[in-house]
Amino acid sequence: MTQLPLIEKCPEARACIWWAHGFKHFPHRDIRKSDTRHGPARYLPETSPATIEAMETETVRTAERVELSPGKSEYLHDAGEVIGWDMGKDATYSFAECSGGQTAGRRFHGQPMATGNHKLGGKK
Amino acid sequence: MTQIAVIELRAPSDGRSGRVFLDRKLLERFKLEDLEREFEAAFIDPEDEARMDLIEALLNAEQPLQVSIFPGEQSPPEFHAYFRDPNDPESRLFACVLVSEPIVRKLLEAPPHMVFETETFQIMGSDTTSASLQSAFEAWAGRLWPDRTLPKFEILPWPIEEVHGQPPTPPDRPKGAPRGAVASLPDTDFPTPEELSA
Repeated sequence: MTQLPLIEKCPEARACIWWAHGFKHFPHRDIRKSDTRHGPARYLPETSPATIEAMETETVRTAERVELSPGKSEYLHDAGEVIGWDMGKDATYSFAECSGGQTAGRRFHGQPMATGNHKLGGKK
Repeated sequence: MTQIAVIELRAPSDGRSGRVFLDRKLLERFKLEDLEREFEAAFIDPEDEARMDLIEALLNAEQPLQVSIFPGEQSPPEFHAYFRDPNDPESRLFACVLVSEPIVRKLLEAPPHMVFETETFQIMGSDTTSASLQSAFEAWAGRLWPDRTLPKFEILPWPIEEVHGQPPTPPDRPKGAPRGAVASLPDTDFPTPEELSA
């Protein structure tokens, strides 16, 4: 897969930075796969914030850009292993999206994603 | 240290409310309308809407609801709140993340130097006792459903001693003797306490 710099892949995201998205996809004590049945998806227990940031940044930088939602830059990367849970299932995809408004600036965040997630549409 | 401004916001379209915490210096750059527009745009992720419908169904039952709170894995931790379904106590439904002021201060150090409360993100003070978690959770629910009578929430916090980390488990035996001393007595023919006191 061709690796393009972020700025070429997402021209509108010149100041795009990673953020934790309110810790919504971070693991916590006693997290269970079943907790993700109705969302949100979660990374596996003991996945550190630094690892999450690195994984999501890597996804934006190297993964295939997919057109799933109008107005958003979204990226999908097959991690090749279970990185978290989504919809109560093992999640092997790293998904990242770059979005944001005029005030807070453009930022990206991600989440683990399982096959069958509606965001993937018919792609996976 | 960053001086923080806190502004109460209300979405123009539907009246949902929340606060933005921001570096005071930014007040010169942004109008209230800019912040309200951003607040409204960021308030809810589309993928959360179905779960919010399930939460509303729980609230409609008008019976006390148990809420389990789990600390995150960072220090200081953020807190993840889940409703327990009264009909299926093993099933947990994510409600929101409760975040204390020290974490917010850390978040404000990075651009864009502003943090919005959202449908899944509630900011609390620096006190993270059970009473404060209860208060923060009630504030979250009151913000999302301002026009309805809410049931009583019974907060089930994670044991406090586990929030701040347990002391390391002592090893079965000392890993090493000080200064190279031999860890076991070479001669077992030593006097008993009775012999010594005779």
